Amino acid sequence: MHGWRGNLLRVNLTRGTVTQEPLDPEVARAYLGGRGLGIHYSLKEVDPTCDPLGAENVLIMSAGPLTGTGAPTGARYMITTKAPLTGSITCANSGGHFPAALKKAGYDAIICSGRSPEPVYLWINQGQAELRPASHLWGKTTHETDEALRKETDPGARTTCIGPAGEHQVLFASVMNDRDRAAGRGGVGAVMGAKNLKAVAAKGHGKVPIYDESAFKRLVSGLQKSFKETSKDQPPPLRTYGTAVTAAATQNYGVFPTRNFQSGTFEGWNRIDGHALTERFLRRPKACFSCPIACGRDTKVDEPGFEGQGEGPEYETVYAFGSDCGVDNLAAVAKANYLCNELGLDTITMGATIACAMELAEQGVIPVSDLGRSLKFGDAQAIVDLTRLTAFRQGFGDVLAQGSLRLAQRYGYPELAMVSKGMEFAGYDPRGEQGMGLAYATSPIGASHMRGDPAYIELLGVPMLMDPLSWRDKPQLIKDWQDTFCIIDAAGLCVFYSVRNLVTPTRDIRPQGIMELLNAATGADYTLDELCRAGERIFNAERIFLQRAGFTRDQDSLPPRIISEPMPEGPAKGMVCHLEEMIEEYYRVRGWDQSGFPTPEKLAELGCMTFSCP
Amino acid sequence: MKVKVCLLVNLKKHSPTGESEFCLSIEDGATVEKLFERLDIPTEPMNVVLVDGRQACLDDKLRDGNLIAIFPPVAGG
Repeated sequence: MHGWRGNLLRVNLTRGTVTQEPLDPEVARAYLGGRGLGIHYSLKEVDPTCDPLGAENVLIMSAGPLTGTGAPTGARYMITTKAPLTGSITCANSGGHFPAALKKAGYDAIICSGRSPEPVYLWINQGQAELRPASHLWGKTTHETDEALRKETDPGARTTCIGPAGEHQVLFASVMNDRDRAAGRGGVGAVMGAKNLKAVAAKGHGKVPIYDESAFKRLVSGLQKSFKETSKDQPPPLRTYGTAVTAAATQNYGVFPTRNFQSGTFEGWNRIDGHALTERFLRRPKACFSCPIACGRDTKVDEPGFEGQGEGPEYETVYAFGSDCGVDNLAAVAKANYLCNELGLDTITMGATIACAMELAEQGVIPVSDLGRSLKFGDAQAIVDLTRLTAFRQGFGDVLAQGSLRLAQRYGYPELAMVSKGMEFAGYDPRGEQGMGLAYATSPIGASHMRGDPAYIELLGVPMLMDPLSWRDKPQLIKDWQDTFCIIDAAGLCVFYSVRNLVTPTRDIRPQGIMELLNAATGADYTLDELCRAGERIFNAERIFLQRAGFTRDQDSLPPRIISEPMPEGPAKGMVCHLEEMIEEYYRVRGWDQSGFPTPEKLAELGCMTFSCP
Repeated sequence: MKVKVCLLVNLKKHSPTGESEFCLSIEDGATVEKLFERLDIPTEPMNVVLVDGRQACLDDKLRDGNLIAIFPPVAGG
């Protein structure tokens, strides 16, 4: 198979066995790869009603056909599993170098089932794979684990692992690869922890076979040339300032979530944005495998009490620990980020959960005896201390470890959790960005911005610009954009590059550039329509998982603050999110019925009738 | 009339004061395009322009007291 190594690894942790099976070419064609393979095998092999932390859940790591090929930003993999945070499917995406190493080592995906009686790790070495004891790694941070694994396997091995938060089954524990790259959302790290799987290390030097080498090289070199041309006068802003530069846009649109979404403007925004980060803490930009952008931030903080070094913070972390907690101390935000990386936590849910706790504490509904301290917005030390406590489930950290919805429910104010389907919002207030509200409400994993991120179009003008305050024109846009993101995530590409360079800047977004790369790499000869249908197939398959897990359309919802409390100040003052006005039309353009699920006709059109008979 | 301008991301180099935020006197009825000319900001590639937080086009007329924020399309370089 071209674009693929053609092999899956099946890891049965209960039995301690590792077996290899061929990747089914028909499955690869229909589901493209990465995210598509994840939902295909989840639907086939996971009981959607299972306990996410039970042995019956399955965790899938899957690369795309372009991962490791040398296609620009072809660096990514997806971790798919039933999420402990939400009870829904989750797919958590990451780049770095581990995904390409997995392909070079000879495998396209790893399917982990069961539960090991003792901690283990998986060592994949050039076409050979084995489970090894990992009791000596249990309790180690992600950085310590990476170092120990490379020492005992191969210095050139690439690793992905959990930290103490995953071991303690914190419901939003991340899986960290290459030390500081996060597959963050939904609690994928908790699932690994529950399975007693500490890590995977991979090393190999195999080449991903390319169907049409000369066409592929021509495409890649054309893209490289075009990228150099557009950045000839100055480097790309994401390389200079990192993703935290986005705060300049969200602040000026009035959608920069502040103090648990009580406002959309933060007075201290320019103390925590990309400029401030570059001036104060940046050592160098850092790139994932085959990436021309280098938006990663290698940073170091020397300020007393917040000393540390590592990667970040990214925009979402700046929002979650910064504006959402009312904290304008960038050193503290960076330190909280370092802790999340080392202990293995999703920075978005961690920061947003602390923000929720801050509002509850300011309202006086959390007893100080529970908190063990005072807590209010703007407390820089608190974001660091509470992050550490959460990873180990110590003190009030044991409550925070459940995420903001369970926290707010515990104290009788569930409406103060800024979540959809139990997943914390990303750094965009839907009152001033209507499409984002629809995207949060209908994302299969809960309120992720990365399952069809309309901020590019509503705020940033990539690949084109639409008014963020309009809602009538959003249902079709969100549907198209969600399907396009499925294709990007399945191919193994990075969204940041793809939305600008590989899709058409037209109202009906078309993944022309991705199709050309896929066809040259795999020989699949996709048409644009076929590729778009594959994206839609993936999204619908995820929706079917939700349906089987017991979700209803009532959970395509947003908190009352977002749909009925007008934005109090700033450019979006007076706005609420018009979700109700968008959702019916969204179901219609999706070909879903009144209950919000795909009709048999839609499933037949997508060639996925098997979904309807579990 | 006087307007306030905020040049963001990598556009600060066009600021006459060296600061990203500054006040500017400009003739009554000037358009966004006129402001671009005045600050020597190229109209291509297309930057995002917000006037008082709302998206604006090059031919939109400015009013006294407007806050104009300008930033390049940020994504993937």
